[in-house]
Amino acid sequence: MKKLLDIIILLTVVLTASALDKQQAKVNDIKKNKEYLYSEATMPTQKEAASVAYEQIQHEVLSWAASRVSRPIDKVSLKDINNLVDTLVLRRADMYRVFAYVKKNDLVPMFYDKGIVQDDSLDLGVMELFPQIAETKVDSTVAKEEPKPAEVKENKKPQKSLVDDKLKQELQRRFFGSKNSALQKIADARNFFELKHILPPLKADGSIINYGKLATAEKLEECFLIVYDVAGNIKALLGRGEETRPNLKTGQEDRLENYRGCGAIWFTMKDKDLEN
Amino acid sequence: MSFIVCQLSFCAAYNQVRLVINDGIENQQLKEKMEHAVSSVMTVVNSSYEANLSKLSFPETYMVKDAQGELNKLWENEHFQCVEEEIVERLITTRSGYQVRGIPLIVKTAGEGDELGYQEAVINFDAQGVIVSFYYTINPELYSRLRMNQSQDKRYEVTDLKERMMILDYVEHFRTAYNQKDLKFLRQVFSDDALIIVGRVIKTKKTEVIPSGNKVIYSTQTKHEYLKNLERSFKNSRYIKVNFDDITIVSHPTITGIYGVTVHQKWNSSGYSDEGYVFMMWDFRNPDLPQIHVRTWQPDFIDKARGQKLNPNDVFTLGDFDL
Repeated sequence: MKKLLDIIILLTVVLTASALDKQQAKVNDIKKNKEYLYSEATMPTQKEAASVAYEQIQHEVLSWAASRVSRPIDKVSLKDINNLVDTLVLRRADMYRVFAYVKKNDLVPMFYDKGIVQDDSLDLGVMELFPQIAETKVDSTVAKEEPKPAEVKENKKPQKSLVDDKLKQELQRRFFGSKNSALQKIADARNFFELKHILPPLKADGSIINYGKLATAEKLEECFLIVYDVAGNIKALLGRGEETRPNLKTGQEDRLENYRGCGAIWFTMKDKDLEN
Repeated sequence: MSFIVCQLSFCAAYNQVRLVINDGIENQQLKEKMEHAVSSVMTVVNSSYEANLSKLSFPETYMVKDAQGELNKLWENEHFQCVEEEIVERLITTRSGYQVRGIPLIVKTAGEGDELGYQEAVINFDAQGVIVSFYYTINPELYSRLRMNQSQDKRYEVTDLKERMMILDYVEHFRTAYNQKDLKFLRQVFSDDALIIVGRVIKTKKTEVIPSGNKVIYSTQTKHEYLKNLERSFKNSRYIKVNFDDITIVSHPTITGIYGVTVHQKWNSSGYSDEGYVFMMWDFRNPDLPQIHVRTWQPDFIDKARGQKLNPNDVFTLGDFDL
């Protein structure tokens, strides 16, 4: 009987230790995974440990988000992230260890609701691809008028063109012919959030050669330029050229210098793809 | 025979600790070097704990001699082990190299029977990834608050992160020095003309001003006198456990590099324990050799039986000392 009791006790200890090991392994896996933000606290009581861990993860969330959008963020409170944060509770000697964690992508819808980002499907990592005005080569003076935030809607109808029909046809022929559906797609984008879904697939299927931030362009005169304002609204699509460039939406002669305070993305296409 | 081999293998595997640095460094080679160093050191610590060895021994490729000495001083005071097989932590860049914090230790203090406590260690590396020091952290929550600059005392708060971390680093080392009975470090850190003030509670006549009949009187000591008394205390105590909590750091309003650090100290040794406020005036004008010019100690309670605590306004601060 005693032997049986000993075996039961031993099994309980082993199973408990095994469960704790699994929790510990889970904590370490999360810490090694760049998709998560985390914090932890070891304190005499579980309540104290949880309180500190939550406070620290709020700090982590704010720091991380601020670094992605290049400005301080003060709209996020502990209450906002509480529902998104999971915790694990472990023991260390006579202390309680609370490990709090949240997946970065789970934060994005909350940031969208708070107006911190404009697109609820946006991976905040893409903010680096589409730089703010500091990236532009043109003189970065502040725009005179406060632009409206870019709207992102399901129904992406193209804007009404400002060009007369004849010029439009010419532009269509030269740039937006059936062989140049790539340019048409780019021209249809109203803000850089939409470009996120347009440029990568076009590069992947060879419709465009490459794209990137304005500062990374090697031969700028050979690049098309997508110009956007501080709120991400696309202001112009400019064709190739040195001092002057054709504005592919208006048909007018244009210059990059006319868009001071804006940012720009360049892209390149093969010449043969531009011919009818 | 195979059972014994299995048992030995199990013990060896049981003692092994692996450090994984998850952030804070791009140089992969250096990262692996530091991971390997900490893994090896902690595995030696665990094996020594298991075998109840009186001294720790490490190859010098992982750890400089001075750091080995510091670790052994700590070991003389209390044995500890890391019960987690894998530790995942960020690497912090410091003024002179790197640092990893949050190494979890279960500590068995000499003289406390089977009672085990919890401490976290901080390990410092030089720029080449060699361990240069190993000591206990202050309360991790406090460290986080101070790092995030969320201290309660906003007067002349030290706002620069690098400054705060530098000061915290030394405060941690200072605290561990008591646990290590490291007179050499304490001799170096106190300036030669340091002013040591010790308060003690005495009984006096009850008056309107002193209704309890208890009051605090202060006596001064030179550095030499203070360290001589400390040496005696170290010799007569089997173990020393010092904990700092409730830390405040303020910078001098006009003199750059001078800071006032106030801690609530819990002193526990074989045969004696107390709690009180320690104020230190730190001079970081030579950051390679920071010094303490003033150290004061005041008891927590004026009348413990009645629960009469020292008035927080009576705790010494930087403003009480004319530079």
